[in-house]
Amino acid sequence: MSQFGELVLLIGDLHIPQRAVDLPEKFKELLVPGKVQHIFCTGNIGSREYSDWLKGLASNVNITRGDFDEGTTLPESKVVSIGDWKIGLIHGHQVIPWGDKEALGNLQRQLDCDILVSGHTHALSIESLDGKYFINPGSATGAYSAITAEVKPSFIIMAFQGNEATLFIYELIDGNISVNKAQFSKS
Amino acid sequence: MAAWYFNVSLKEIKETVLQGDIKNRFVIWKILLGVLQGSPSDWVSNNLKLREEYNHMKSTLTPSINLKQEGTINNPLSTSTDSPWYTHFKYQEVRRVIRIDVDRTYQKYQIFQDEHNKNLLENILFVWSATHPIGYNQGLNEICAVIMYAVLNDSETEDGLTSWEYIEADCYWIFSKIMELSVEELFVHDAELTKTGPNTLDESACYDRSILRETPEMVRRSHYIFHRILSATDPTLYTHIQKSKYDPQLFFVRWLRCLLSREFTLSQTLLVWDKMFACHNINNRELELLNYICAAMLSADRENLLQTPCADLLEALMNPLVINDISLVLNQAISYFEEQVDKKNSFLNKWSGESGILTNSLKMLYKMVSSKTEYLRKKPKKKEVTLESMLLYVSQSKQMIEEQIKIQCLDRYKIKKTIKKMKYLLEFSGSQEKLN
Repeated sequence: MSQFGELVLLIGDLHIPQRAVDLPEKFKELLVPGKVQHIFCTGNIGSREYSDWLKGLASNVNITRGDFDEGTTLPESKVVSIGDWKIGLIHGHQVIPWGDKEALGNLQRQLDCDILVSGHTHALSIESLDGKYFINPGSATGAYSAITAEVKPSFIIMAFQGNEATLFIYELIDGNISVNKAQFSKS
Repeated sequence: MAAWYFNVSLKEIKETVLQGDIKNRFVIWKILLGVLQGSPSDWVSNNLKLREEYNHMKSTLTPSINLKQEGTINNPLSTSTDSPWYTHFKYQEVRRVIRIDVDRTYQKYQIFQDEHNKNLLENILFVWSATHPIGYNQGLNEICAVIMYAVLNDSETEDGLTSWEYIEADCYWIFSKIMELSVEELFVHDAELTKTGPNTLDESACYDRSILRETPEMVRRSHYIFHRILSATDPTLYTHIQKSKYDPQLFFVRWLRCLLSREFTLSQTLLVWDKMFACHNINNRELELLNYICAAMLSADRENLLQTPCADLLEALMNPLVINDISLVLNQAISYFEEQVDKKNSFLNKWSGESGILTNSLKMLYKMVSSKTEYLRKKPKKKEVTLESMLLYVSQSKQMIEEQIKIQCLDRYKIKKTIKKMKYLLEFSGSQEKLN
């Protein structure tokens, strides 16, 4: 277990049942309890059922409020420390222009985190600015987005080991899972 | 100065153990079980090799996860059996189940509350479970805990055969050896039992080798102890229990699977195991004394059991009398066991001298004949059948067979040879012309 430190799931924008019926079958087969310790969910899950399902997957679940998460008491943003890393979480509809790196950079400085995880655009991306990292896990269901064309279902698993972070990026492309990797370190 | 066990024969060690409590129990167990093989001068080096082997096994069970490798299979969620992540999570689950039992094992004793010792116990059970198809089962933790208790109550030896640094590896090999003595088979799960053979036996089936071959170990053993041992050592009690028609597995399962460790205090268990290992012969496939002790334990409670009516009998059987003085039970079991061994050895010695061909067949023959005798003697009209009369009959058949072999050989080859050579000739006469 200490070989790879703690595992974190980054997921969000499911929009079930509003824009998607369910998670892709292949994703459901992979996402089973007992594997990850932390979950960061950007928001817009869409229903209590899936919110509960997420809470059953891991012991530490962090969810922020999305623009469609009405009637919930979720926080707007959150910062959690895992090992040497501080991870900030926000849905992203609050940051204008949506998906803009510099605007997100502002927020990152406010929250004082090493990695900022946000969603809303449903566009999978991993970027860096001034030694800090910005991750968008996309939409786990591939739900429609007005901003992004051709959304493919995706989520990310991160493994932290000291100052190093390894990302496993899971996407569903043409019905098959593809796994890509990225690595970066804290500056 | 070499420890006492280096300078005595195996027979003397066994006799010492049978007479009472012993020093350096941990090393003695290794010797009696055959974990330390070869001659005494090899023991220390063999022991070191075993420790290395254990460490090697342990390291192969740690899947190497390299975060830098390409991700198609090497990702945390991979369900591919080739993925080290998959193996990692699989092992993690096994350890989780083991740990639940470890945390509950012998918590009354301080040494088992200690975190370090719990980790040792978990590791040993994990390594064994991961390398044996049957996996982890409840009860294995009990057996392993007794072994650990034995070493932790022992003292380190100068020769290094007992050493605190290597408790894990040493305990593992004793545990593994005990499991090989048909204990592993006792844990075959009930669901599998019903698929691969009878799940209970009637009395006559206990004498039928063709049925016994197909029978799961737990079934076979319970019925053997009940129908064959108890019926001979305590016929009154046997008849009484038999009327209730309870399956003997019900009351023997915990005794057999935990090797009696749940029926006695830990210190008593150590003494019981001492005797079991001392009576163990390297060629045996199981710890035979265990069977006799089980029967003796039922007999020890006979006053109570004989008075219990059928309906309450099962409960009484499963909760036997607490035995404070185990020496009576042990001595009874040992004396009956030794009686059986003597009978068998005298037969084998008498017949195997001359020809040498039928040695393994001789053992089989003895088994068949003695079980047939036992079976017949239970029939009302055949009580006069004795082992001697059966053996006489069979030996006459053996002599007849030998006579026939001699005649055939003389006819064919006009030569006189030992029975062995003659048999060989007759079997391979097609491929060879002559034999010198």
